[in-house]
Amino acid sequence: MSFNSLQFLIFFPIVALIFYILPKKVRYIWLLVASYYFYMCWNVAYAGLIAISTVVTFGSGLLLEKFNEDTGKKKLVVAGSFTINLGILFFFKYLDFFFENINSLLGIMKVRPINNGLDLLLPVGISFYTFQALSYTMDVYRGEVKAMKNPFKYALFVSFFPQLVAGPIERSKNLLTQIETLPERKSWNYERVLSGIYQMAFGMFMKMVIADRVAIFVDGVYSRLHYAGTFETVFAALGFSLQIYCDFAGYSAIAIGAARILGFDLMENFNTPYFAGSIGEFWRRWHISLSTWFKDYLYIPLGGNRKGKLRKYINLIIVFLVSGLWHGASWTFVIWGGIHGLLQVIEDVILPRLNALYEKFGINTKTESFKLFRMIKTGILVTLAWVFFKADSLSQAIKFLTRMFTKWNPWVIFDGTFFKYGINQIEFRILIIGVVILLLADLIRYFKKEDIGVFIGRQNFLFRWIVLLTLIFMCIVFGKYGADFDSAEFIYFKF
Amino acid sequence: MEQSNNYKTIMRIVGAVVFVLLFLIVYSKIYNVFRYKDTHGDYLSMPVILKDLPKDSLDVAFVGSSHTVCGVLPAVIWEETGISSMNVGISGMDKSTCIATLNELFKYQSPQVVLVDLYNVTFDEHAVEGNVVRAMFAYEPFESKGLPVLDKDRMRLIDDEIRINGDSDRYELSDADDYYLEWPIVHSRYQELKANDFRENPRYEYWLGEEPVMRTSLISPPELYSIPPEAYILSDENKEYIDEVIRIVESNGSQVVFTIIPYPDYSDKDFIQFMSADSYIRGMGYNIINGLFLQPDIGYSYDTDFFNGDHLNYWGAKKVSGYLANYLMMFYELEDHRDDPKYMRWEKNWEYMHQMDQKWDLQNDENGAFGTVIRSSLGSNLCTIIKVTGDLSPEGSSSAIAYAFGISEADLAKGGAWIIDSGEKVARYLPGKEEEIEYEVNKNLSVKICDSKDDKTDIYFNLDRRNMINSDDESGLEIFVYDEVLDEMIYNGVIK
Repeated sequence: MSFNSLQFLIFFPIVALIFYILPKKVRYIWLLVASYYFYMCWNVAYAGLIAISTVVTFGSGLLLEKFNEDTGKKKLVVAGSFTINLGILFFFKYLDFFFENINSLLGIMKVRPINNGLDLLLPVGISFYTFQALSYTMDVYRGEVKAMKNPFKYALFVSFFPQLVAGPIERSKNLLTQIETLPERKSWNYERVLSGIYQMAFGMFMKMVIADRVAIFVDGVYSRLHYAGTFETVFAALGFSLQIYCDFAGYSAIAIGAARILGFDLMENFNTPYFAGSIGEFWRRWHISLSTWFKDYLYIPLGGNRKGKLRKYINLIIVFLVSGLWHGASWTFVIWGGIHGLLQVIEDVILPRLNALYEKFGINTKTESFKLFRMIKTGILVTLAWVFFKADSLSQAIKFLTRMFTKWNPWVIFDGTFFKYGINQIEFRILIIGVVILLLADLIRYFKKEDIGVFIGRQNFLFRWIVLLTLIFMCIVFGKYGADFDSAEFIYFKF
Repeated sequence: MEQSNNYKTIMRIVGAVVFVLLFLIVYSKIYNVFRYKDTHGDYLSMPVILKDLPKDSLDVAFVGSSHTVCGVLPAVIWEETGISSMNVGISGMDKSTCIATLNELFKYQSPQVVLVDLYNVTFDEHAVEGNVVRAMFAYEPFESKGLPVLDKDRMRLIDDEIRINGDSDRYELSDADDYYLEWPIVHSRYQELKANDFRENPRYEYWLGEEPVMRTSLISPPELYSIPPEAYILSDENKEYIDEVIRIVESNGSQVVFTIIPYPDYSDKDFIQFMSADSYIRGMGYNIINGLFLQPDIGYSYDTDFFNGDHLNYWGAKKVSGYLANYLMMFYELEDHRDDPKYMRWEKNWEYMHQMDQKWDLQNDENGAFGTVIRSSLGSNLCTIIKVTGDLSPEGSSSAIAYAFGISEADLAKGGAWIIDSGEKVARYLPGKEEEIEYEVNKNLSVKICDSKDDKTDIYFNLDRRNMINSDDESGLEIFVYDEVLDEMIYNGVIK
């Protein structure tokens, strides 16, 4: 069940309504049932994988508490929990990739390839809930949270449907605490619910009006690379930057809004990432729940920046290579991660020198124009890196980049060629209107430091109604859905 | 404090209700713009008329595919008998659509006789995608009365259509929800909206489901198949279908007559199904008008009365409709409504047909432009605008035309422009001496006449805000003829 489906539009109000009707003590049971139903709408059998992950990490939590004094045993338990969870993840997500590479090597050695005989369907959101469950094991191991005693509450933590399939990847300190305190908390908060609705509406708008619309153009260019020149590829690259942001941040907004309606605060996942002045800052604003997960559970355990510059750079590269692999079982993702790691290392190395140069030449780095320059520079680097993320293969990515720089054709902007990639002039106009609305929302987020749901919720009722009706009708009229449109799954579902 | 909280709660509930109402109002307005308004093309939808007709005003309904749509003219039946009939046809009407149409028909009307065409016994699947979509969207998604419950007949129709087209990539079973609700499909129409999406097609005022085509193609007569009667085996699906049609019509207190509207391009397989259905129906004691064998009685010609191998043209439809009118008069006691104001739509429908005839005559007059102008000056619901540029020879044909309109030689020499509405001179413009004149022919057409910069006369037409038609500066007698019923400029030319 996708967030932008009719089923979800029926499912969610029913879940919310019953949630508030039920006595507080049993609400978590209802949410657990709803969450498993939500997941089973994709694949009934794969709900078993969530259950396994839940049982393993729940059991490991209890054992970790039991072996409180015995570090050796605790490490063994953590290792066991990680092995089982990452084993499942590897089996379903990386086994094919693994055999593909083994077979490539065997091919070089002229040895017959291995047929693994499996044609596995990737369980939706497996990377997300696996990481969320593992964070619990680590938090209990570190003594940052106590082991949960109620298995159903813990099961809800792993499977909470708003963020189950594409995050934000929650921490036990945040979500588990909220689940535990559910019976004691205030039942209904009108302002919160409204703010959640605005947040969801804006997420839907980002996904249905912008992401799915620009996706048609982007896919059109990628599938006709033999035909496209500099201008189409540049716009397609920029388009993908827009698409993936609206797709993923849109999903997160819906998840955060839905959870807010149910009385839960999920962690922030996006904070105007394209306003970042450096790659490092970009990662503090983009997919925050994943970046902080890697920081807390991989970068710091590797030594972080405590063991010298070289080790810091190696750690950064490792973290980003793993992050790339987390996104997908393909070398394109690994390269994408590697590029981001490398860019951060380069930034770290040259930034002090650059700052010295700026000072020497009297360039004021505090001006708005300089900030804008840095944002544009970061945006260009991020956009170029996305080419690897989007491409189906390395050769496609290289071909795309080559086209970007070698086939100069500015006339396509004027001669109608642009409209031969799947979206016509009307669609482009709608897209531009959508982007303007998005920019306004991001500016509000950037300067007011509050999400769009909270901001709208603070306004007077007339403004709120106009904004909400506009968003809803933009979605239901200009949103991409229906039989004529094969609605793209949210991009991050496959990770 | 508690009182203040209660007040707050009440206001919030009221606010939520008002918001939902506002949403529904906006949605319904937008839905009306976006919904399919088309079962025939040109923004005309047969089910809309079914609902618009005065309750139980229909005596006879003709149900069928494009053969019926093009081949039956309610105006002819009205003209000859005063019987109120309607062409309840949808292009490509398959069996499922026919059943849904009958159910829809009896929700709003109680016709005494229903004539159901049998073209759909010749096929079980759909050949034309557009027809399927038209059929599925012909009916509104929700029952018009009471709460918004999905219309069960419509849902059944969609299920049938999707089942029939299950193998096609276009119609996946998973799309059923989208078709039930309609909106998920029609919302993308923002790319194709036209004026008639925002306001009703003016033809709705008098339209009765027909689609006359004034075009002729020379058609070869049908092949005469010599198939022995023992080969006439009706398929089980067709048997069930015919039985279901009879059941629906009779259970609603009406009488059913089956028809086969004539067309020449049928195959031997079609012929077998037609003949099998014919004998099955006669065997059960029901009537069938088999047009394939009635050429001598109806009098249609393959040279003049078809516009392609499948469909009658306007003149063929007139002949078939005349035959059906006689048939109805002969076998049924149906009332003549010609003086009843309740049946104004049929009167207007007849008038429309009359104007169509007049337009055809005007545009195809053997006497050329002279005859055109004379006719237009006498014709009803026509507005003629004439303009004189330069000197006309008093002996020339253009002067003769001017005199026919009662314009004197002296006036003609002064030049200018005249407006003649339904044979009556209503305005005259004298160049260089008068202020500009503006004349509202009707709500759709206004005419403005004024001097141009070079002291000539300019005529501007604003036809329903659709376009501006300017007059020429050519020397001679320029003539415009506008038909108020058809709402179109049916003639424009300069006569030297």
